[in-house]
Amino acid sequence: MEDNKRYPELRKQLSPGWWTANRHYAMYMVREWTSLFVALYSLIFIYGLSLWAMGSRADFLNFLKNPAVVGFSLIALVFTMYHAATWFYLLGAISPVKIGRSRTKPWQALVLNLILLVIVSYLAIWLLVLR
Amino acid sequence: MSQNIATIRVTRYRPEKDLKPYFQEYKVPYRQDMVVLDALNYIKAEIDGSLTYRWSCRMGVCGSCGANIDGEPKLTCASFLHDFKGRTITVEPMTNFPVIKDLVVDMEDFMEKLVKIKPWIIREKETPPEQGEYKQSAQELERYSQFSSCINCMLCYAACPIYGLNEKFLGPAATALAYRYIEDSRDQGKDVRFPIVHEMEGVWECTLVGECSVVCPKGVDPMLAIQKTKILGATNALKSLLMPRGGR
Amino acid sequence: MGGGAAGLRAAIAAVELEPKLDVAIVSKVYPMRSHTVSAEGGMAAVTREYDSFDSHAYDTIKGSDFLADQDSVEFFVKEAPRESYQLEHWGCPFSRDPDGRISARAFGGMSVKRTLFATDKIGFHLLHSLFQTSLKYENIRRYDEWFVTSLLVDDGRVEGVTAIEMRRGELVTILGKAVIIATGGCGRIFRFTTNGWIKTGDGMAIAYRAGVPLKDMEMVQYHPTLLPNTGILITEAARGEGGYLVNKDGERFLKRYVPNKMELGPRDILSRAEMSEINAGRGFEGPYGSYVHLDLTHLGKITIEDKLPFVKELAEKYVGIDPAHEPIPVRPGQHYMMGGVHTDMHGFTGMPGLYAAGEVACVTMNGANRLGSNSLTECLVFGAAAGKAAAEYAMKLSSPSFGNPVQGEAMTEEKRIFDQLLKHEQGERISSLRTEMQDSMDKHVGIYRDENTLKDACRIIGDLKTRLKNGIVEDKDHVYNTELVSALELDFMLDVAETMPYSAIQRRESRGAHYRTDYTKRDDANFLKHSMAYKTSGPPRIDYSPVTITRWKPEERVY
Repeated sequence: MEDNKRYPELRKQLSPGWWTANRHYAMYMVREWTSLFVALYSLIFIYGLSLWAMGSRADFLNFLKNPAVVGFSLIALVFTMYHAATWFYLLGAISPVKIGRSRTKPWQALVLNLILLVIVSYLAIWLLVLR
Repeated sequence: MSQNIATIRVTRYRPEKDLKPYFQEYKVPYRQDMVVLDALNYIKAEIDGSLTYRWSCRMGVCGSCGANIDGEPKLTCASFLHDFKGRTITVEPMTNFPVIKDLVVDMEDFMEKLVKIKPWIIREKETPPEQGEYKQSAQELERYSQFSSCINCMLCYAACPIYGLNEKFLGPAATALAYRYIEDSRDQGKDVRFPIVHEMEGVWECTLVGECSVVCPKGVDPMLAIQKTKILGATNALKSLLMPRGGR
Repeated sequence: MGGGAAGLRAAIAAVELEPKLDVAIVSKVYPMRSHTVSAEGGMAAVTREYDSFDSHAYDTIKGSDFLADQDSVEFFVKEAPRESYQLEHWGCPFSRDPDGRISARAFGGMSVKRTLFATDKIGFHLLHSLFQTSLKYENIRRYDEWFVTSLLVDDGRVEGVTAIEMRRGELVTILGKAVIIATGGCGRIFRFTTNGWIKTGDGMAIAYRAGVPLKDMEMVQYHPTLLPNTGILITEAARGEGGYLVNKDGERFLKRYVPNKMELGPRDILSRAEMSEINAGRGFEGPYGSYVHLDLTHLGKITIEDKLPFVKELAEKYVGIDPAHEPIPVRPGQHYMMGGVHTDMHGFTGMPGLYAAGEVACVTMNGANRLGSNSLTECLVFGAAAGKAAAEYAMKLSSPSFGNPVQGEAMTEEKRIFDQLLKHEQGERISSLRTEMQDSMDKHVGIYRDENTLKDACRIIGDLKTRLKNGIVEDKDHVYNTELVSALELDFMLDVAETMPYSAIQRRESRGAHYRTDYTKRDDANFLKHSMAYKTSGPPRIDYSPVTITRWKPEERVY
């Protein structure tokens, strides 16, 4: 064991900028950061709903029309879409469906789930706002 | 002149002489079908006999020759020079491993993890081989055969930043092998392996970076194995919560 | 010594027989890197009702051109099924038939389908299954990346080995009551070979230097289908699944050489057939020499992807060809050593305490030519036999003590390596000496030999041995010195290489893989015997020992 001190191995620490080395790593970090926006938006939305619960639907809609909220919502929308798309893709990578001799590809899961997302989103908007 | 010469920049680290690693450049005659390993062999044979690296089969099945080539974990015997931009190629030892000398890294951590997951068939009752094989269908074989292709090259560990940050993380190859045995219809050792893979530094450290599956030269897809093991763990926990006394 | 199929199987057999034994696996690489890993086609055993032990034995003996010891072959074929099922029990992911049984395919020289396979990576799966199973035994201790340099012999009895621990670069003595050599063949003696870098005949040389003869060293197997330049193996299974060998005229030329078996003829005849076609001008010309075509295009994409995925991967990667659409260029090259350390059918070499199994050993069951898919089974059967025999022997002995004779030997060895070899400041490079040896062996001890080429080889190898004494090792470090190891390996390789032309020159006949253009006929009257090469202070002394014939009288070998 003394020899390890005599002829030491080289040990390197992972530098804080490790994720800049590679496009895949960078996209991963962006994905992780977008969850922050998802969380923040959820809180803001819950607050808005609480206004409706304690007041009226008009209170909720007025809150949504606030320029700051609109601004933040647009940014959050972009990041949340990115977040959703990456996770839909991962869902396809983790649970491929076997059809005959081949398996479904992750992009197919992405497309399918995006379509489902659009349908569910429309239903949600219709229920909450348009009705 | 530049058409027929390639420049190889290799990390040198001589523990008996050097305190720090440094790069050394060598000029190597370039051929269209050369792999990085051919270049290293040329350097060792013709220019500098002290260049140290591992290799054996030269056909991508023994797993000895892993290295970081232009920043990406790859097998030197399976990386063609013409795949890289330009004629200068940087070869470094695999990231996240302690370096013994030049491109040779310390594999002991992985060897310990290999033993830890108990990679052998565990059965309650063994029938003697004279009675023939355990029958297995092609479908049963397919459930785990992809994960049995791991050549232990450890490129996945070099690619995994979680392993880089926390050496205790079980890691892609070890988990894929554990999953291979869990899914093998002949094995009955789920209860033995579950506690090992589902401890904190088991599969739960994985945050789905996914780079391990990108670099795997054999298409093992260790990321998939880790997520499937997580799913098994979650359903197992749920089952034991809802049916504490029974249910397998 | 050695952590491949035979070594791992022997270790497991030893601890299963005697659980109190302490077993060490000393390997110069991590066991997963052993060259077993590259075997592709399959392993032969009698598992079906349409098959029989007699059939497997006769195929093997005929394949060996009747040089095989028939009692060993009979033992082998009877043990083979049990070893196959044991391997399956240990987790090997064999390919399966619809009824759940292990699938069998056709193979060269086998009269029925008996080669059990795992797509086309049997060696990989076999090695990993064995290695992973060996991890469950606590008293199997591993010394990974320890390079064995010599045997320690006291009073004619083997008592251990000296090995360099590569990590620290120090010579260490490992004492043991028995030593099993399982270090594989010596393909790297040749330039164009399927073998990996590590196949340098270490075990053969070490046993040879300790006084054990090397048997049938002139019997070198040339595999018919290697990729040109790289020498990467394209498995016989490609032909087993129906592939054709085709010359420049688009002709399946084997109909002129082995009309009954065609592409499933034995490897020696096929390799010579290819060379004949090339020499007659019917081969293709390429940047790396002449070649013929291995045509798999008629097999269809699905068969190739299901049964030969690794062949597809290798062809695409290293030649840029999709085998479903284009034929693969192939030519013959060195692949396996039928010859090796002399043992009986229990792996015993004759020297007390020393056993050998696998490609390093010559039992012999492969005689003058090995049938494909027999060697993996050979590793398991004789690995187990050697492990058991060594374990029984070891249990009868008391522990060796580190007495004076052995310690003295170890210190002489240390001096040889570190003071003599490592300290030279000037001299010839190891790599150039090695290349000269490889080129000479390819040229002079190749598929076709004659008196003159063999004499040249004897002279050149002798000359290289002298020149190595003044070789230089540039890397003066102790830690992980791969150049020193290469020098020691070259030293081993030259000793082993020398036995080949000397054995070949005295065998004035053609038999199996040993083909002499000056003596083209098989001569049972004079040469139905094994060549035994003994080390002397000069050139090897060649002696002979009889072949054991039990039930199958030598006959003309036609396919």
